[in-house]
Amino acid sequence: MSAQILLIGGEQDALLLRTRALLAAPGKRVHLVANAAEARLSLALGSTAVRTLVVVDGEPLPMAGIECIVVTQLAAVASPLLAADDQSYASAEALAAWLAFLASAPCRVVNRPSANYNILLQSPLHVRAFARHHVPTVDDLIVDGRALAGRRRRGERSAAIDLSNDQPFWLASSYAPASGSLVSLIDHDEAAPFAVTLRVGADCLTVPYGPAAQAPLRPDARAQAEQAAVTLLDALGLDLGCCVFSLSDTIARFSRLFTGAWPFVGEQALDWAAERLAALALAEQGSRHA
Amino acid sequence: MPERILIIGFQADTPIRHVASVAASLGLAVDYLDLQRYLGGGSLQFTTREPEKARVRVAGERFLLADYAGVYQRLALPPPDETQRGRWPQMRARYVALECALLAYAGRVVNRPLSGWENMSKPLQTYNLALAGFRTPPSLSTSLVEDFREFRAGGETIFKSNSSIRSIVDRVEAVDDERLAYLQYAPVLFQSCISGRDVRVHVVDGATFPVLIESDAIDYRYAHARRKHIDMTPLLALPPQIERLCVSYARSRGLCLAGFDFKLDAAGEWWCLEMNPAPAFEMFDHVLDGAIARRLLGHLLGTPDL
Repeated sequence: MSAQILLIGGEQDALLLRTRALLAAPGKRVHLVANAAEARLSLALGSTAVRTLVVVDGEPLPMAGIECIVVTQLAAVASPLLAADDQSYASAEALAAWLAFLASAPCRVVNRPSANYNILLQSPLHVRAFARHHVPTVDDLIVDGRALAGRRRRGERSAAIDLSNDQPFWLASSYAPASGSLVSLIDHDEAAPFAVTLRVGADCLTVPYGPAAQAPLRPDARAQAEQAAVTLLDALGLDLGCCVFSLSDTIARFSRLFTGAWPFVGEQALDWAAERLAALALAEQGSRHA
Repeated sequence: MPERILIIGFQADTPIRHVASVAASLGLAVDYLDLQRYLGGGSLQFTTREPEKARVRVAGERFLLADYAGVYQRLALPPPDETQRGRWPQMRARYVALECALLAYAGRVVNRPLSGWENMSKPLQTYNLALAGFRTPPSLSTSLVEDFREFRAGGETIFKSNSSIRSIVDRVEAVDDERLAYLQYAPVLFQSCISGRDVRVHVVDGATFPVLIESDAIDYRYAHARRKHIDMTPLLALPPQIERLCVSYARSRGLCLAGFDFKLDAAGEWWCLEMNPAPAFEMFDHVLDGAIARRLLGHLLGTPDL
């Protein structure tokens, strides 16, 4: 029987698509689950005769035959045949069942949900709050629109994220929040670069991002970023992640974590990550359990 | 040192009212931050460099977290309804901001946001409870009719939601094929029905408060609504192993306050059904003369034996 590998994430996730192509080999069957509500499952816990399995594209996959699961995003869109209220309930039920399936799977799971890591819940603010216990982190300032305008008038520069829509990275200085909205500022000079560290298993790759991205990174900044990325991702129990560090001062300070699709990462870096992710998926067992 | 306590929650939420009432009976200084009004139009300002200076404004009132010895919170974000849909992004932003201010706040918080998040998946929590050493009922979360049938053939079965969306737990009676067809749209959590008496154990700051519940309802929380009998009495002592497990599991999840649901069967076995990280404990506390709330308030003030 072929060994099965499950990839769970978006249909447009460039990293997963590259990884799938690399994993396609004799003796391996690779399945992509983009919508957890469409993939039916049975998760058996405790003493019962029923076996745990998932049904993907109409094919039943017993847990015993699954070699590895890679998760970059967990999403559930319920059937449009259900009433609107029932759709949100059905999505929540599917996500809850899949969370348990992933946490309890006896095979290697990249990235396994754990007490410190819930793929469904954590906003950038939450992750920074956790990260502060482990690595140097940018400071957050949460203010309303009026306070932000005052800071801008005084020439105080920092990257802003509108909490109502959670824009990635930052909004430009010209950003004017709507009345009553809250803005999260991170202590980062808009003219300074970021370092983006990809971590796949034991390997790291760090590239510059943002303003002055063409300039090479300081060697000490690269080393700091990679050490911090490994420390933080180990604390979260993650084998796969992309950490963004502010390089506003002499210390690389953690600002964002991406475990899902990485649309801002270049082609070469994606190829680097896909090769290692495929190797990780095929490696011997030994993944962490929740 | 501050000697005031801040309570954050919805006015209609019974644990909020209960804790405020016990605090008043003890003459404690308590302020109340109305979550409904904050989410609707409040503001918050804080920096992680000085988290103690977090400041919340709600309808002309100002709350400075540094003024409080501790915070009892029951944060919840209501789902968007038709009347609020336009304002919902800002409500969500206020919610996340307050959650993060409480994560950064150095004082005591019951409970720290996100602690025990696994409760959003009951099968995940069942798995974690079993790993920790609790005896849990055989369970099946399934969207497959044939697997449901096989599980049910093993004995009497109850059903509940997988997620934290509240559902009424009930016995699986005769189910027609038309109803079973809905399984394909959403998995349902089935468990072997454990017969016996219910015991609710609250853990507060390492101390346990067990209450025995006698009821002929499957889900005793709805006994009155279903015109079933319910009687609650304090349980004088827990088996030491169960007490240790409850205390250590709550601690491992970063929870000061937790509510464990057990079934105690005829053979004396303790079956853990679930753990609630934000328990509505007032109905149990009434038979304990407010002992849970007193322990909770004492913890927030740094004086456990209030």
